[in-house]
Amino acid sequence: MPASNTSDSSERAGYIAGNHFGLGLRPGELRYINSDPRGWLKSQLDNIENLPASLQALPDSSFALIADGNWRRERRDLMQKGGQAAVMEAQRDKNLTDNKIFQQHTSLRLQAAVDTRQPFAERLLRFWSNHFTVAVSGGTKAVLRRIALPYENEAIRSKLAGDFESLLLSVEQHPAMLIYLDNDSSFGPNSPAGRRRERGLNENLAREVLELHTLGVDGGYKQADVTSLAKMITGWTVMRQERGDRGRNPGKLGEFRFLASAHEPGQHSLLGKDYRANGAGQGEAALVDVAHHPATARYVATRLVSHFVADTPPVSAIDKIAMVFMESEGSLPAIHAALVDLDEIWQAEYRKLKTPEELIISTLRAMNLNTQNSGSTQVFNSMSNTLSVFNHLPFTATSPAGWPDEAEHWGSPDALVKRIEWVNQITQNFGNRVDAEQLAAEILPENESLQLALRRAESRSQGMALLLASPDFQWR
Amino acid sequence: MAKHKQSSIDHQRRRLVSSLAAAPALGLFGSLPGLSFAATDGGEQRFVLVILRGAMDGLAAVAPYGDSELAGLRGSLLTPQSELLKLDSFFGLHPAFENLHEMYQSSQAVICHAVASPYRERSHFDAQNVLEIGLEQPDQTESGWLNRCVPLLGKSGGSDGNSPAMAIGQAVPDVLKGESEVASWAPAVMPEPSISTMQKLQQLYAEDAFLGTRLEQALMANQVVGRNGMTANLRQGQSFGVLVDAAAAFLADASGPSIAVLESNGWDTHANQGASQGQLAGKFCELDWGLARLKSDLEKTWNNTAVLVVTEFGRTAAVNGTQGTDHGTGGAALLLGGSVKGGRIQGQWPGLASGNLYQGRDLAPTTDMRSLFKTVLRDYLQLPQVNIESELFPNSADAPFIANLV
Repeated sequence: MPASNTSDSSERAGYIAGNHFGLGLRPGELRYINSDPRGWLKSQLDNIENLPASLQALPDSSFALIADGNWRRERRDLMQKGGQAAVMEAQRDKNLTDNKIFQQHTSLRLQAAVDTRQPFAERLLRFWSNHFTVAVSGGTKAVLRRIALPYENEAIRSKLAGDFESLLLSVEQHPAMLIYLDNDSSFGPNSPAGRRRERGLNENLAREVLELHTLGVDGGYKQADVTSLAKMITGWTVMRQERGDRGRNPGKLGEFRFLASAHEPGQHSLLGKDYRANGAGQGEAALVDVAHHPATARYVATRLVSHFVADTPPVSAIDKIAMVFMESEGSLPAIHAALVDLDEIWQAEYRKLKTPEELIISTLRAMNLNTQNSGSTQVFNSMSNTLSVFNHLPFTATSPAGWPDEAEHWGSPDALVKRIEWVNQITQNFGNRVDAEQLAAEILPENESLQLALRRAESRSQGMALLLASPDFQWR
Repeated sequence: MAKHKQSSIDHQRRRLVSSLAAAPALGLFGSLPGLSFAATDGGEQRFVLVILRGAMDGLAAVAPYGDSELAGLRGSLLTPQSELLKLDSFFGLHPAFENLHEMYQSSQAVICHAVASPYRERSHFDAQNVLEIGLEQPDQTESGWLNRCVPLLGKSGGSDGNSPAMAIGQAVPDVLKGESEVASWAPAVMPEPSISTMQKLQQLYAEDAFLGTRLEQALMANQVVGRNGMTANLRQGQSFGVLVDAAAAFLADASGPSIAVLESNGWDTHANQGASQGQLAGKFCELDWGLARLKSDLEKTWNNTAVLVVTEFGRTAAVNGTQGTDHGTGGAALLLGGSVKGGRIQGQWPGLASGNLYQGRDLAPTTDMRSLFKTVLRDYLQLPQVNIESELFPNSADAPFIANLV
């Protein structure tokens, strides 16, 4: 690996801080960064859990879950009164509303990223949200359309100043995750409810906890460990409707609840360690141990380094982050700060192709758009369309593994042409107000061939198209 | 041509203006509760309006090779007479129009020449607006003539989210805007960057091993050697083809719309327009291919389909200083369909001698475009003449109905 010789005060470091760690420089932003790029990044870790302004009016997931419970009850009533046709009609309206809300959420989430003055913090949130992916679907999971974004803030953002253990627990006990990975329909086969209803285990969540959230697929666990963890987290469910058994199964409507009657009785073992029966505490104890497992440290470090350094993550960097993970007992601020201190990142040969979402965010930031601009709402709203054209609409990843992070995935010839077409389209609409040459100097390191191309552009909007489609802007 | 109904409809950016906004489109028209059209048989008339935006060069598309002035005016833009697809002893189609020529020969195409809307200035925007609102001056109304004709079609429409008229393209064009609700569908195709932008990007990408290779691959895949050795940009062809497929799929559905509007952009050939080959030839190829595809997609209803292809104005008779042509006046229009009275040229030829040119530079118009619209509406869609003259094209006495057109 190349040795570190990068001076933080060098001009290049500011660009790396803003474009590689951040979400793309805004014109003028470099001023605040250049004196101390690493300091600028680390200072963002201090209030990483603060909710961005655009998301402050967002209702809690419990609110949406309560509404969802009410809707199910109404639908049953409607079935009795108006029959199938009435239900279908109402269902259609409900789906339209859900879609509209989901679209609003997409727009708000984008606004948060475009507006933010803490782009490194916002990138970290997105990394973890992708690590702990939930994706929307229909049927009994339709409520995910309304709670996916609240989930990201409630279970993830609020925990980023703490440690991995509390992040893990808050994610795995959040209604969105319990619904998404079916734990709300998992029953201990020997539990009272399981026996009565002849229902059994659903291993979905337990498997993804081990495979994707903690140890990683090569983390040394076996099928028996998956089954065992699945048993220990039976009864971890969501209080979706008022029930008569509140006394025995306390919990708030619309929130996590431990349903003792669905919990598999007895002691179970995970990775060779036994966990005694202790209600919800049994699964919690298991997750705490998994959270501190060396395999988890290594797996999480690999994912972080792949995201922050390169598609083929340098082993030296993985080693460093895994070590910080273990030594700090999973302190997220310590781990995040260690990323900033990875010499590898400050070397220009490491780069990542922007994902479509990153391309859109950095484009809007480069164009200095923010929620204060008149007409910006319309732009943000139209971007949810763009995100789906690029198959990168938030919370629609096709598997619990989340979105891939590699250039190979996002940079196919056809996708590349689509990017160019999009950039061309947006600059035709907005690009004639901006001088591309001047903007390039504010957001990208010097590059003679790019400067030459921009100087020779036929029009302002062509200059902007060339700038935004240029390799320098497509990579971060 | 194969029928790609499903794949073309299954694009992400389709949308239906109205309460149907989020419902999966086609095929559900008849099955969604509360949504149904009056029963239609396969015999109902379909009308497709194709608007070529940017002003198609009528003299290049339908060359009056019998006019002795043509060669002198056109210079390097002239397609050699031997390559033209002859229509008669005076007119010949550009060699790209193989399928159109075939339709002409089987009496399924009328070629109208020296056509213009009542607009006599040379702004694209105003000219398109005049063409679409059906009045003599731009911006005199917010509604398009096809929108105003929706209530006359005698089909249910509007409140239930369905409409007998549909826009196929990125936006609802002026001709369909107005009080009556219309449906619309848009493909997931973004406008194509200009050739110059792509060339400049290729240079920038050449320095990037990862992106450079992929861009080259993409461009290779998009270049196909077309018929007659002409190079057509497949992606461009595809994007019009996608619209055509979509229009055909919607029109073929018994409970779908009976009127569709398609648009094709990129006809503004001010520079390097080419002759038998080149930029404009590629556009002709795309159009010809699209029309053929529409015919084959609509095989079963082709006998009940009329397709009218129009553009906002023609281009200058003479070549300009950059091997192209500038905004003009009289142009060409096409009317196709299984039951049009085709195989002939419609309109009077004004001649290209300088004294005959409009303002000494453009082909002089002898047919008012509204005559084509009015005649198709009355004789083909069977709309009452009184409504056509009072509501759709008021003050159009100068644009008489044309006998024996459809």
